Amino acid sequence: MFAVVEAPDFPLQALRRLEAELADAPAALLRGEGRRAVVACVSPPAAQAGVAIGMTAAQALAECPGLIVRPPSPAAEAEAGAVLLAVCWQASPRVEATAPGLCTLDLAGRDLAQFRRELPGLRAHLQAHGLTCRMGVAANPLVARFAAHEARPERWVDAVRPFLAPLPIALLEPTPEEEALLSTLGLSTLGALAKFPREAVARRLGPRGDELWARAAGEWPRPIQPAPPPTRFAAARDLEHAVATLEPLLFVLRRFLERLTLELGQASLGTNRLRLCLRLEGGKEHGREFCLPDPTADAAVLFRVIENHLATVRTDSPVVGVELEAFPSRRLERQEGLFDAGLRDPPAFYETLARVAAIVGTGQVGTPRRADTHRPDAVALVTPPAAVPPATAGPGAEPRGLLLRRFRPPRPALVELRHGAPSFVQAEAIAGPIAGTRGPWRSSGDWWQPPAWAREEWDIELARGGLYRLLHTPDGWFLEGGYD
Amino acid sequence: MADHPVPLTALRRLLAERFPTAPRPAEGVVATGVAAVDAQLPGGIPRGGLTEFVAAAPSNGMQLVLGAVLAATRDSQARVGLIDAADAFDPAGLADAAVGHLVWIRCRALEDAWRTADLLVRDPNYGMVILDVRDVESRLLKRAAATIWYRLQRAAEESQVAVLVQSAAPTVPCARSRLVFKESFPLAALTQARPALLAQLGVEGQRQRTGRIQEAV
Repeated sequence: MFAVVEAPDFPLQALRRLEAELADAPAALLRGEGRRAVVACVSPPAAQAGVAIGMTAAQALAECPGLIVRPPSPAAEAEAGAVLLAVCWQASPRVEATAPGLCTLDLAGRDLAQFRRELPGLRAHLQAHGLTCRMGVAANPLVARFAAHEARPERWVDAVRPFLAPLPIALLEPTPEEEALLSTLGLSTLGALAKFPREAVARRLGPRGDELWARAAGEWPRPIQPAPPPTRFAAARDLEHAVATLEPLLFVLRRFLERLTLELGQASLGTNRLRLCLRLEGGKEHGREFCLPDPTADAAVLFRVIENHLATVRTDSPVVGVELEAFPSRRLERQEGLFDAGLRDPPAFYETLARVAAIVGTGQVGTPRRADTHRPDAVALVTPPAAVPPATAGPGAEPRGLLLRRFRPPRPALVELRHGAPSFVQAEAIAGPIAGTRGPWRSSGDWWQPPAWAREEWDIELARGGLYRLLHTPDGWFLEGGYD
Repeated sequence: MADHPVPLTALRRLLAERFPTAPRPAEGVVATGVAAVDAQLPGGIPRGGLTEFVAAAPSNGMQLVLGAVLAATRDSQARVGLIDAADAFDPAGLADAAVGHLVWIRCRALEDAWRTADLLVRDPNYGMVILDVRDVESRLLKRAAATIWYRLQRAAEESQVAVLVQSAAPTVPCARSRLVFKESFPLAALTQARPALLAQLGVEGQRQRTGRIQEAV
């Protein structure tokens, strides 16, 4: 048995699932150039408003002033085709991408009763991805295709000939000349054509006539050609209008991620690396790679990572195109260790980090790592590791003394000196005579490359209490922080 | 009375369903490893609640206690989030290995600190969240609504995260415990071993819920 899944008005459905403004609005797809362009597909609201296939754009707009017209988008159709294929793979491993918006499933080896129960779920899944489909099931792909065409929304054909007999000849897609000839013979249905002698049709129409007869009889001469599984998980789209706000962009990205994760999940894969590229007006690009701790095929998790990043992005010009690629990785399946100190919920951890970075800024959150330099306060923030490694005793002597709390930036200070040492200090919120000092400690560095630095440090104790670090540089005196 | 004894777990479940907003008992503490501090607290910083450290004097050793807390949590491999409202933390005084479990958030404004704290306290991956508002201007802190602290408390109760707030004056109205660091260290402290300094801490404890003020160490 075979099943055919068909998305009617596929070019328009492909556009509507990627453009939020088309979702509920009256919309039509135009084919042709300039004034010769005619309506090829209409959305249900447009059809209700009186727009019909074959109208010119002017006629359609006269019927429905709020009509949104679009030319076909091969990229949107490719995206929707990939979604259709990915969902169909969930029902059968052998799926043929027969035509745009039409897939044929080989049900060999499947429990047909079980598949029959699954059909509504399959349609609902496609609907969730923005595709309204109808399905037909029959003994061969051709009859299944006819069944899908007639389905409202599902049609299961057990007896082929009684099903085919009343169907119109137009289903065979004859040329106008062929249709006229068949009409003169009084053949208007598949049943009538199948009853007509095959040789007689072949004599009048040649090999094409033989083919039409065979199809009218429900014959299917070739095996299906299963589509290969995807090896690259990427999506791209040129936006119809340049967008300067987040919502339309997120709408497209969510659709991309839904499809990519569907394909990844189908291959038992996940991703822990995403590459996003926003093409901007004027030819510039904004690119960003996202790394996750563990591979996942959860679209919601990946979407939140991108959404949190985009919430912080300000581009110079509107976005005219978007590309997204997910790099596949095998999902980890491991047993929790008894002494495992990994994250309880890795996606939540990195999602929180992304949201925090959106608040305080990228580069303001992470695990501190000292830079390989003697320059003071040279510290970098790195992405926290997924698992905290066991603590090990570091080399060197045990650190002594109180810890420093820095004033960032250091507070300018007025300092009085007595016998070469500070005796009084006045700075923001801190002032008074100095009871004791330690120092000076002088250091410098990076003299071979700008910006060079040189400093003299004093540890001071105020007479009224409090230990501070006083800093003397070529720019003057500063309070660098307090010991605590 | 019912004919059959009702299991305690069933009663707890029933109470949780009937009173979902009722505070839940803390499931444990995060020991700081500092005897003077743990003695003032129920063995450590309690999970599921807010604990406040108040710096009543300059150079009182609170940052040293923070270092000890980081070391203790490092040993237990618990993740710690430090929300640094005034960007004052200096990791240079600690070894890289001692902060391998730390997530340091350098805020630019107090508003960022509130929003970040709200996110971290709700994240189940953190064992402890430290909110440092010591160097924030007091007028800004006073302007902040008390509901912020109650909101954090509710979130901590839900996630059972230990929340430590470092402040310059008593600030948190719903803190379970409050420790006041009252004594400044002298200049000689800059050369002493840290364990010896921690043994000299001048800390006074205040138990908020009971109102019992414990003796100064």
